[in-house]
Amino acid sequence: MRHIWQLLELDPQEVDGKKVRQAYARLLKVHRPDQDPQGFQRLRSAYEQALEWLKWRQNVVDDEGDETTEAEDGETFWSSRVEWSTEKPLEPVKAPENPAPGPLAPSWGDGGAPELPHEAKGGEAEPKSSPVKKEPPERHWPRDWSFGIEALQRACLRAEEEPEGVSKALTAFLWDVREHGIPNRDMETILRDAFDGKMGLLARTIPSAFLCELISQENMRLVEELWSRLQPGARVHFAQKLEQCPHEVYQEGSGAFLIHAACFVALESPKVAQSLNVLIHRLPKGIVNQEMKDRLRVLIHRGTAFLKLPSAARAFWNHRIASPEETCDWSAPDVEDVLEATVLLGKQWAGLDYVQKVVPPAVLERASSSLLPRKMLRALRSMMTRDFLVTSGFSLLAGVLLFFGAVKLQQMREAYLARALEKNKAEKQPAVLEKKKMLRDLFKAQEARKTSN
Amino acid sequence: MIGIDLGTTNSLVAILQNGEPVTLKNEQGDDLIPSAVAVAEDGMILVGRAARDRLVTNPDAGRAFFKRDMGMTTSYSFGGRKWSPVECSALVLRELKRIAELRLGREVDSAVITVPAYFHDQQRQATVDAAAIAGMKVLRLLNEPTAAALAHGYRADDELNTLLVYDLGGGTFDVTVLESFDGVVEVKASSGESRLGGEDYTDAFDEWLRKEFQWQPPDAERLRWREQVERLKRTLTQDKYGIIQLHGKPVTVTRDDFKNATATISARLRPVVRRAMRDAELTPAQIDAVLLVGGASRMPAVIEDLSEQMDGKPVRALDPDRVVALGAAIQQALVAGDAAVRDLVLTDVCPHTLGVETSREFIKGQREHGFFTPLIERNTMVPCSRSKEFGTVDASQDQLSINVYQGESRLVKDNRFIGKILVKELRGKPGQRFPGQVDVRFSYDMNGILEVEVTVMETGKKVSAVFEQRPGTLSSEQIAEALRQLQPLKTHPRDMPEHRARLERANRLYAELTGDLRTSLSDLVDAFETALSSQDPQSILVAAESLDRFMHPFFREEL
Repeated sequence: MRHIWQLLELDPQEVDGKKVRQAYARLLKVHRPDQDPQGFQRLRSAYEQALEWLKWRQNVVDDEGDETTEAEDGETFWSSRVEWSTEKPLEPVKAPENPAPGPLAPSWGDGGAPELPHEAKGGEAEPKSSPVKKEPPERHWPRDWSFGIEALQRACLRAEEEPEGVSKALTAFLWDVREHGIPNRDMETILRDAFDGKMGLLARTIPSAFLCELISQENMRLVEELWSRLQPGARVHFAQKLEQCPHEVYQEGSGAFLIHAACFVALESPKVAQSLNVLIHRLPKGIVNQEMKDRLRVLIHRGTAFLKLPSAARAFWNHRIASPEETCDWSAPDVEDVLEATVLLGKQWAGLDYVQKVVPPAVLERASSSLLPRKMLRALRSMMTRDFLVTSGFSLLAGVLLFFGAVKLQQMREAYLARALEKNKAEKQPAVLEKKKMLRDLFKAQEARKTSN
Repeated sequence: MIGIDLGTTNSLVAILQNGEPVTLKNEQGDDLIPSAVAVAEDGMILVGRAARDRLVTNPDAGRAFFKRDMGMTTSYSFGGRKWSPVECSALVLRELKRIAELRLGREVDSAVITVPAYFHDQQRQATVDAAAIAGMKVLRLLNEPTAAALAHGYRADDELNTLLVYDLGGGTFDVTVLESFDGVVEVKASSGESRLGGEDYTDAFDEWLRKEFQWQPPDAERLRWREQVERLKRTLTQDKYGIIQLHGKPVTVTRDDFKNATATISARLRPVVRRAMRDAELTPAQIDAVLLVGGASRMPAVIEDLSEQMDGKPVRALDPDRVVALGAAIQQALVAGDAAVRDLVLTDVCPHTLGVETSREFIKGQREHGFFTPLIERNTMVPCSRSKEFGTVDASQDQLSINVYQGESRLVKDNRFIGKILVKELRGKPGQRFPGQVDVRFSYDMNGILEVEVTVMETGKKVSAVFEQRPGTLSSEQIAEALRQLQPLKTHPRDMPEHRARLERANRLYAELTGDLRTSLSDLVDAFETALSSQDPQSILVAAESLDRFMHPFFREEL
């Protein structure tokens, strides 16, 4: 920032809009745009930054409730596109030199040509960390975007009643982003504004295509923030969205995040982790280190094995494995239930290795030996409950009904058989009888021949 | 060096004299030179008022409003040959050059010419070509609204002023938002439509009149009829009622009729203002004043509508016909480094978005082409330079064709093609850091000339091109040929422009008069012709004076 004031030959302590303009006007006559284009572009850049800084300061002063209302008329009307934060003036956006980081269309579409490292990689100041600034001033986004932005804000307000509306608005906004090449920085600001700090909502509703966009632009700071706002249970869903992105978009930062996310969900949902693992294996070498890959493989293996357990038991074992040094009362009733469920899976169970590492062998032994008596005990115990009477009452009723049903059924069957016999008799024709008789005779004749032999 | 306003209807030439911009007048004392070209019966080329007067009686003998066709391949047939819009403009420019040389007493070889802000590259280039044919070098093309603002800001105080310049000319409409302070005139945004202006109002009004009154003017009187419509339009600008002759009897038309008849044209004005305001990131409340430029901005309907849109901001009218030329004169002095304007600096913006064609992959494996990726957004301050990285679609691709376009559409097919650069030897090889990657840099200067530089990231090899000589413009041979064709054939007193103009005007009047008046005029014209044939300056002067005295009352409203 300092060099700006040097360039404008001003003292930052006592500048105002008028002084900046005067200085610019004076220097402009030295660095004329037609005679000294480079000098002009430098001067212009400094001038724009100085005005932005002034406006920022103005806002801070206004917010603090100072009586500094004799602000120059000019102040309010300078364009505002800068992000508002305390760090900002120290590291101003260099408007003229920096094009939007990451050429949007090319990086999205042009054959996955690897994007070059940009200076924008997580370098921006966090707008939310501003202690002075209470709410951002009204920004003037270009008209073409503003429809999408308004729709997004509306959808966010109605998120309670209509959660899917947010996803739709985000998808529509993504189109705007791609169409107009909204710079990364602006996109993030717009999102933060629209969601008004409810980043959890954004994390839950973000469509996978949008997530892809963030990842392809290497905006990992935002992605990670979204991830951190989610409940552990909801992260599986988020990880599924990660899987939707083509492997080409993943870079160093995003690759590391991807495997981190995969490891996180591996125990909860090994299936998702497995498909993420496939994706990870397609990434170029060096993006994700081998150690993490091995770890993910182990976690997926464990997750798959533990899926056979009821969720309470799974949670218990996962906790035990994560913190083996913690002491545990192995004879507590709920622990015994877990042990029982575990032992039930038998010796062939793939997860037994993991369990054996954290359970004293004696405990496991005792659990498996007491399995049968314990089961019987439990059956008895359950019989003593109140439900028993109700259950037996129902059984009695069912028995009586069954008995009468059976008697009735027997009667019906007999009646049917009698009818069928009569019908059969009437239908039998003489020819058939004759044939039968003939056969019988033949048979008898054969028999007679046999005996004579 | 001179400043020229090459307008759709009228053109002017101006210079900075003793620190004040002034327009230069021709021999007849007119500074507004009609932008019209015609060929007389004897093959002589007429320009200006003489041409316009001839067009009234012989609509097919020449052409007006050719500015609207600049940069296009259309041609007009009159006088036994084809004429391009560039050649027609060249004739007008040559006439202006002649006037300047007459008034300054020295040769003029270069000029600042104003063009509508929304003129695209080819139109600008066509203007430069026209000047070359007229024997002048264009020092700078200045946007018309900027010129108007310059003329306004030239004498403005040092306080910050935010202005909206509303330039509704004969054939073009431009809106420019700018600030002026401490001798700095800074254009913040420009927007406009290149085919919307007073002539469209006349067209719409003409159509309405024909439909409303079941009137079909005879073919021979087409331009005469149009002139009547034009005059009625002007009358309605000043008065609430106007009278026109239809079916041989007078018909009264009100201002409201005109407003209704041209509502569709007026509806196209607002969006342009809105776009400029949006691009400048300003609201109407932040505008200090609105400046009206261009003849058509005088129309009450336009002013009312604008005032409503701008929340009733004061609408200031400069001399709408001359302010652009005065601005051109100031710019001319700026370029020349005139001491009188040492403390004035003008910064302008690039009015169009410039970018390249790219392809995108929405669904994996399905690549769609023809998307426009902007590099320099419209209303970026010039001079400016922007770069972006692009890559080949496929690793085996060896060449990359960078197609440069200008426009605001998402698809390149709706934008204007400027040119292309071919980059070779890009095929991916093992171990490359940036396989198939290039960096494309656009540099746009004050004269609207675009330089594109492509750097191959892997090798650092650079390919660059300057898009100055655009397709559809003339080569130096063509300019020489055009120059030769437009050379005056003879210099008889009859062909001196002022006498030409007088004769054409007399012919026009003759067609309108009847009975005794017609006979009197005929006699006077005969006397004048005789004097011309004698080539005696004294008798020519006497005959001309008596002819003028007779004709003057009929043309009072035009002068």
